[in-house]
Amino acid sequence: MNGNTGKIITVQLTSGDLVIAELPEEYYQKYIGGSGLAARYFWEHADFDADPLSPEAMLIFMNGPFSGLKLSGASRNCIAGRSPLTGIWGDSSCGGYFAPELRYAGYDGIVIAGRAEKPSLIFIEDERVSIVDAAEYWGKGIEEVNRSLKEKHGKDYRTVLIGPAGEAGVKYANIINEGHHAFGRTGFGAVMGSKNLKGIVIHASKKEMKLADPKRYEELRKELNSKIKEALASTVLHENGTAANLEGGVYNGDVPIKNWTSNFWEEMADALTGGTLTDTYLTRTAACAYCGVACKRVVEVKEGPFAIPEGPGPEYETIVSFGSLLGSMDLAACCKAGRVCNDIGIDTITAGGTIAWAMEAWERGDLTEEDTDGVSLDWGDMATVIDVVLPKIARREGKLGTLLSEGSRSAADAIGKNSRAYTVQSKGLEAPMHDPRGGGHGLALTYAMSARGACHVADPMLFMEMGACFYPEIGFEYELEPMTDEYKPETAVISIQIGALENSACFCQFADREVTIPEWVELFNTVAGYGWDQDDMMRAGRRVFYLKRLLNYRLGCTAQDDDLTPRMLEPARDGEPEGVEINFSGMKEKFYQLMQMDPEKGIPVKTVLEEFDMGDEAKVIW
Amino acid sequence: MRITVRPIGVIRKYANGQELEVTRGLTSRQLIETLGGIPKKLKMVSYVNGKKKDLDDELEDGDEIKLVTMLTGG
Repeated sequence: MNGNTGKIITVQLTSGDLVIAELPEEYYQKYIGGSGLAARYFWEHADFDADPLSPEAMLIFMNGPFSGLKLSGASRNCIAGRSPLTGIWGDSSCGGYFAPELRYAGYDGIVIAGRAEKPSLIFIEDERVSIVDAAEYWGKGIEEVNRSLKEKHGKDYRTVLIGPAGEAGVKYANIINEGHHAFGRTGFGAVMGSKNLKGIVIHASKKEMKLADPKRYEELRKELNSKIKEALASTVLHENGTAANLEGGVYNGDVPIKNWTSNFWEEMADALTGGTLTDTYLTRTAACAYCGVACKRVVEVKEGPFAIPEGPGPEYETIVSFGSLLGSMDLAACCKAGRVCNDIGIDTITAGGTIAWAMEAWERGDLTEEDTDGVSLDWGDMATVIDVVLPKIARREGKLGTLLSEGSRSAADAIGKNSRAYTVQSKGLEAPMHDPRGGGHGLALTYAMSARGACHVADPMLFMEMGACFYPEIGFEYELEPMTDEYKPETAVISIQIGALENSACFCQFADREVTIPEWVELFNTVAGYGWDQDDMMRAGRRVFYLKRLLNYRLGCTAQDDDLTPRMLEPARDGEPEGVEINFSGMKEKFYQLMQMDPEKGIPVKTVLEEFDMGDEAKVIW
Repeated sequence: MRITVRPIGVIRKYANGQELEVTRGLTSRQLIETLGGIPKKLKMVSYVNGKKKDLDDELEDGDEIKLVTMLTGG
């Protein structure tokens, strides 16, 4: 096999069995890698009745075909399985340094099932794979454990770790690579915790890879790396991080404020934007493996209530989740909140979204001191959030910690009082920090169609509505007006295919939007030798989208779950989008027609599955 | 006539905030060209006195123009 290794490690933690398994090349050709290949593996091997936190649940780490190949942004890894937060298909992508090491060690993925008797680590050195005791690390924060492991084994031993939140079963616990890079979303840290698995340590001693056309790949790689690094968006991201244009987003109404009750806050725009972070707390930039964009931040807050030593800094999502979303414009608090979340191991988006919901519930009187163990949840009170609420969530401590550790949808259902109406989530996954009412109406559609729940990186609709990328070869060469539904379903059909490629090839959206469709095709062909044309590649993207729909159907989803909450669809109360309605149901209906999906079941009809070479999958469902 | 230009977010990289003496009838699109340095590929939005305006609308004496682009998510 070219490109991919064709091998995965299967780990049965209950029995201690470790098996190196091979995957058929047909799976790669049909589902690419990353979340697509993980979805195919899950389809075939998972117990669909298993609770996500039971030993029977399966957790899958999967690389894409370009990992370790020194292409900017293309060395991400995907984790996937059934999400404990949403109960349906979940996947989450992580940059950092895990994917290349896994590839160099000789594997495309790791599949983990069972439950270890005691706290454990999976230890991988090339072909030597073992399960080792991790009792000394259990209960400790990610920062400390990462440091200890590197002191013990060497800094080039790569780590993926959970924190106390994953051990405690917080439904949105994350997994952190190298103490900095997160498999953030859908709660797989809790799945690892339920398996008594503190983490994975991996080291490869060689970097040998077999490519279909290494000479041409090398030329293409150099061309693309130059193009990606020199792109306007990349220079902006490098200089000021992913929050570089937060300020612009505020003016357009894209940045959520106080649990999505406002779309404009002028003073906050300047206080939280990436340039301000650069001028105040940034000490240096950092990068994921082989990435020339280098958008990561390293920060230090020298003094004040939110002082932190030099270390990983916040992304845009964390800045807004622990900034304007909670009614705060204190950038130091964003830095500290992000650092704390990284250490206890929770997803900043769901954490911020859940706390924002709780603050609104507190303001309305739907949550009282009796529910919060006496803790007041006032807008903008970041000291309470950081010093009291986050530690309680991490340990699932008291009524407040237990309630908020479930995520906003479950918390709302627990207290009732129609409080689900002001949660901001789809399929149970809290929305990221782009409000479609100001960011673009197409995003409302793709949030709802994303298999894992509300997500802006499931596909590039956000960038397509901005006019930041175009794909003329597949029909996307028109400018969109973000604040209407015009051409949005048609654009979404293209967007979800590109998104499936990105998340299956594990290619970062900040880098790959510079890659044209012909270049994408050539990448697959020079690396894996598929001999694809453009149509073959786009069909694979669509197939991945369809497969995740089928998985979700088997996990209990239907068309009615492709929805947004009332808060997300009510007209904005102020700012640029004030009063504008989103034609959500119209866009959804049209998208369903274009994608040939059953309007009740929410899955592709049998004939279209057969047309996409998914006859075997169709037989299971139809 | 006299106007005030305030570049927002990413646009600060390319243009400074300033008061400008400009000819009557100038549009936001022409203003952006006049400022120079703002890459043509950026999709620009102009807020005039706090309200989004078409780039081809004429500006008026005393207007405050905020120039915004949507370039990157995050």
